[in-house]
Amino acid sequence: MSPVGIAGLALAVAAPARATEVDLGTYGRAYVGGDLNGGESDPVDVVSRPTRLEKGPYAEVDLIFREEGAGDLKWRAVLTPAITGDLFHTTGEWTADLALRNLFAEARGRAAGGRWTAWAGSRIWRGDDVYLFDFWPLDNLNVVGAGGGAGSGTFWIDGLVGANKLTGLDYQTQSVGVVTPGSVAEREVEVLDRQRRIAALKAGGMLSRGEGVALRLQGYVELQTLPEGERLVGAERVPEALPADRGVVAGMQLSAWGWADGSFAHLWYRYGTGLATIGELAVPTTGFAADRTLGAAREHLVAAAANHDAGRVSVLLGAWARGYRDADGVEADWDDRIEAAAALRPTLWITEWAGLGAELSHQRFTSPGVDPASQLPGAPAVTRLALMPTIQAHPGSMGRPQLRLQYVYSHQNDDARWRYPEEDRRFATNHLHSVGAAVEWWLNSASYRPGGIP
Amino acid sequence: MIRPRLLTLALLVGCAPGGEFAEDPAITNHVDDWRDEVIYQLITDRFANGDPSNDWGVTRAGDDLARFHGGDWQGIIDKAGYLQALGVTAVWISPVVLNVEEDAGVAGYHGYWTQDFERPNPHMGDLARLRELVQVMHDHGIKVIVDIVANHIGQLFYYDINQNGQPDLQVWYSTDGSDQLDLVTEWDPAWDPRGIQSVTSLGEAGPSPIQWVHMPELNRVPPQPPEFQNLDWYTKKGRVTNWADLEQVAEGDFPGGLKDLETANPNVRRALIRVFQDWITRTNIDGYRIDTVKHVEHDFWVEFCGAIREHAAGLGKENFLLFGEVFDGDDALVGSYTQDGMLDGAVDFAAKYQVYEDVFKRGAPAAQVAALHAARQANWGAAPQPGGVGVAPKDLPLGFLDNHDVARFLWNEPDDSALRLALVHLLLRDGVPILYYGTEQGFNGGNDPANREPLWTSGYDEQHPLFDWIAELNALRAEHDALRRGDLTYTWASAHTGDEEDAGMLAWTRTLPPEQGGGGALIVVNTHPTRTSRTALDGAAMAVPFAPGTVLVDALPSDVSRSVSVSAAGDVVVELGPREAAVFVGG
Repeated sequence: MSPVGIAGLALAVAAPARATEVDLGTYGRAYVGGDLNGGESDPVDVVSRPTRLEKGPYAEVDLIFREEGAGDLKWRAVLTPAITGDLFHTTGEWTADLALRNLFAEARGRAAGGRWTAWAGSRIWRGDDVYLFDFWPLDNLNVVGAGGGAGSGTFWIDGLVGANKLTGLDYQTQSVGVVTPGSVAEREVEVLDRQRRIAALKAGGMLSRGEGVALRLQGYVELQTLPEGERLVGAERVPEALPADRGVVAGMQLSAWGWADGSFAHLWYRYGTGLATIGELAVPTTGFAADRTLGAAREHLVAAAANHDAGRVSVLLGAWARGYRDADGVEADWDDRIEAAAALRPTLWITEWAGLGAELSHQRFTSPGVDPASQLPGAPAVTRLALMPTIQAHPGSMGRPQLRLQYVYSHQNDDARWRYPEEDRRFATNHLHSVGAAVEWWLNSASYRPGGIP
Repeated sequence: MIRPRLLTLALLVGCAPGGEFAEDPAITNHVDDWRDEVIYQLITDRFANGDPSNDWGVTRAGDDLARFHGGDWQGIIDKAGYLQALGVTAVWISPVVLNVEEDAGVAGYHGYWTQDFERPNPHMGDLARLRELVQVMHDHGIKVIVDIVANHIGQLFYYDINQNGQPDLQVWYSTDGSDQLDLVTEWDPAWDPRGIQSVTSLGEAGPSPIQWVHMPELNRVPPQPPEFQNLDWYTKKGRVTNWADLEQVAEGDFPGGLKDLETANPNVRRALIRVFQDWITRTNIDGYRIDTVKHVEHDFWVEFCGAIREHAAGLGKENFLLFGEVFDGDDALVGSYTQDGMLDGAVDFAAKYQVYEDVFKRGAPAAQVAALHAARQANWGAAPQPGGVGVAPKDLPLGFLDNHDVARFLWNEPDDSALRLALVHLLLRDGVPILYYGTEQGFNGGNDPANREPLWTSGYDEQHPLFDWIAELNALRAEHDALRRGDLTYTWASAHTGDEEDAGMLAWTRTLPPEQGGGGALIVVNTHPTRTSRTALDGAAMAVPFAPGTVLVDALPSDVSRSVSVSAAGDVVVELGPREAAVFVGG
C-alpha cells in the first residue's frame, strides 16, 4: 500500500507524572459469507498469493510506549499481540491462535544532520505491499534480532540481523524424551538445535521529491543461512545428517507518488535462491536436491501495485508473476511453475463515505510437469468478478475502516478443479458464487502505516 | 533456473502448460530379439533414492526392511550409468501404480497392493518422471519392463461375517456349514468354496456383507477406477489354504488379505486390459512382468495377452514382452501358461530349484540340468505367440538365481564360487537372464524382506569382484551372437557327484545356423565343489558340433590361457577345477 496518504488515529494517553506516552493502534479484518447453497463460501485459488476478498479473521493491537531519553534520544517499546483462526461465534469453541507479532524497543536519535535508529527484539520488518494480494513482494521479514539504520531525508539505509528456530518436521529443532540420569523419569532433551540466521539490508534514495511526482528507488539484499545438524529419525532414533543450507534474495523497488492525493505506484523485482525462496518462516517439505539442500532452487518475481484516487473514482491495481524452480533438478516437475495474478479494483464514490466497488482478477499457473491429480498437463486458472457496495471512513481506495457487502463470481477452468478431491464441492463445477460482508480497519496501525511504527 | 527472459516470454504466450514429459510419449522400438537382452530386476524403493522430496514415511533404519526406504524413479535415472557399466540391457521395475500405504504394520513399498490401477505411485515419482525414466533408459540402450498385478487388489475390504459393521480380528466360522467352528479374521478368512458366509449367533445367514475400508490416512480406500468398486468383480471366497487345489489358487484371496478379482468376469477382463493398455500408451515401456500368473485362469491370459499385444502393435510398439511369474517348481505347470496365445515366456522357477539350488549350490547331478531343458521343450509353447515377440516360449525361459520372493543365492552359501559358476550358466544359457539387484554387490539376504536390502549401502561399487564378473560375462554375451541366440545343446551332463572322472561336469554348445551367420560356442562348468573333473568317462570324450582340428579358446578372463582342439573324432576333453568354468568361442 502507499507510503503516504494514510491517516492514523493516534490515541495519545496523557501521562502527566512521567514523560511516557502510550499509543494504541490496531489492524483487523473479518469476513462472513455463504455460497448461495447454504454453505460457507470457500476460496477458489490456484496461486500462492491469491486475492484477499474472503480472507479469514485477523486482528492485532499495537501497544506503543514512548519516552524521551537523555539528549535527544527518543525511545519506544512496541508490543503487538495478534489473534487469528476461527471465531468463537462461528464454531462455538473457545479457541484462537495467538501470537506476538512485535516485541521490541527502539532508540532514535539525530547525528550529523541525519537520523539514526537502533532496535532489538522480535518484530515485523517490511516495506510496501501489493494490497490486493496481501503480498509483500520484496522486503518482508519476521525475525528475532537487532537492527538499525541511518539516513537523511534523501538517502537511507536500514539493516538487521536475526535468527529463528522453527519448530516442526524436526528440521531446525528436535526434542526427544530420555531417561533422567539417576531416575526412571522421562525428560525432554533438545538434540537438534540449528538456527536459521537472517541478515538483510535495504538502501534507498529519493530520485525526485517536492512538488509533483516523487520517485524513490530502493535496493534490497537478504541472506539466510542454516548450519548443518543431525536429527534422530523414527522409533529407532537413527541419526540423519542435515546439511548446511543457504539462500539469498536480491531485489529492487521503484516507487512513485504525489500526482494525486492517495495515489502511488510500486514496481518490484526479486531474485531468490535456495533457502530464501521459501520464506523465513517456512520449513521445506519438498523440492530438495539429492543432498537434501535447497541450494539449487531459484525464484524470479516481478510485481506491481498502483492506486489512483481521482475524486469520485478510485482505481487500485495489483499484479505479480513468479517463476519458481525447486532444487530437485527434475525437468518435468509439477512443483516447478510460473504463476501469475492480476487484480483491478475500481470504486465509484457516491458520497465521501459510500461507494460502489468492483474487483476483477485473474490468476493462473503453468508447469512443465504433469498434474498428479488429472495425470495431464495443466494450466489451472481462475477469473473472479466481485461487486462491492462499500462504506468507509475516508474516501479513496485505502480509506479505512471499511465495511462492504460483496458478491463474488468465480470461474475456474477444468484444470483448476483438479486442485480439489472429487468429494470437495469445488471439484464439481466451474462456476462458484459467494455473497458476504467484510470489514477491515487500520487505526494507527504499525503494520499499515508508512515507515512502520510511528 | 528460469531466466527472466523465459519468464517474460512464457507470460506473453499465455503460460502454455507442459514440458517434454507432460504428454504421452512417441512410441519407439528398442528390441530386435529379446534373447539379446539381460534383465536387471530391481525393487524401486530399494535401488536408489534420487529424489528425497518424495520420501514420505521413509525409515532411516537400514534393517527395517518392511518400511519405505526412499528409492524412486529418479534414482534409477541417476544410476543409468551403473546399469550400463554392469552390461544389463533391460530393467524390471516394481509395480508403478498407487498402492495401499500400509497394512498390518508393513508398508506398501513393493507396489503389489494396488489401490488405483491408473495413477502412479507418488513414492516413486509422477507420470512425467516415469516417462523420463523410460526415455533415459532408452537413451542408454536399456529397456523398461513394468511389474503388474492382475490377480488381486490390496486389502481394501473386509468380510463383515458377523454383520456388526466393523472388522473383527476373530469371529467364529465354519468353512463347510457344519457345526465345526474355527476362529477366523474378517480381514482374511480362510477359503470357503461357497463364498464367505455371514454367521450370526443363530447360524449362517447367507453371503457375508462386504465392507470397503475408508482409511485415507493409509490410502486404504475403495479401489480406482470406480468400476473396480463393483463387488461382483471379486470372488469373495476367502484366502487360499490348499495350494494344490487349483480352484482355490485361481479364486482365493492371496495371503495377506489381497482380494481376488473375478477374472472370469468379462467386465473385469475388459477393465484390466484397458488400464494396462493405457500404461503402454502413457509411458512407451517395453514389456510387462506379470505377477501371480497361476492365480488367474488360463483363458484369461489368452484374452489379456492378445489384447495387450494388439494394442501395442496398434501404437507401433513391436516385440512388447509379456512374461510372468508362475511361482512353482513344476515345469509343466509353468509351461502351461506359455501355450497358444498366452505368455511369451515365464520366469523359470523350475530351473531356480532344480538347476541353481540343487546342482550349482548343493551339488546334485548335472544331468538334472539337461533333463529339465529337455522337459521344457515339451512343456512350454513350441511356437511364437501370435503377434508376440517372435520367439517360441520354449526358447524364451527367463532364468534367475534369486528374486524378491526367495532368499538370495548367497544367503546360505557364503562362498561365492558357486554363485560365479551359476552366473555363467544363467547368462550363457538359452532365453533371457534376469539378474536380481544386489547380486553384483554380493548381497546375501534371506527370505522376504531380508532379501530386499537398500542397494545404496553398497556404495554402488563398480569394482566389486561380482560386479566385474557379471560385466565380463555380459560383455562376452554381447560380443558373440551365438551366446545369445544360438541353439542350445547339452553336450555333457554328468550323472555323477562323487569321485567319478566327470563328476559335476556340465557342458553345452550354442550354435547358430549358417543362415544366421554361423558360429558357435562351447561352455563348460564343473559344478563339483571339491574335485577336478573332465568331460570324459571310461574313455569316451565329449562330442562337439565343431570341425575336427578346430581350436577353441577360453574367453573368460583368467591368469592362464586355455584352449582345446577338437579331435579327429570330433570330441574334446575339458578339464576344470572345482567350480571352474570355461567359455570357448571359436578358434
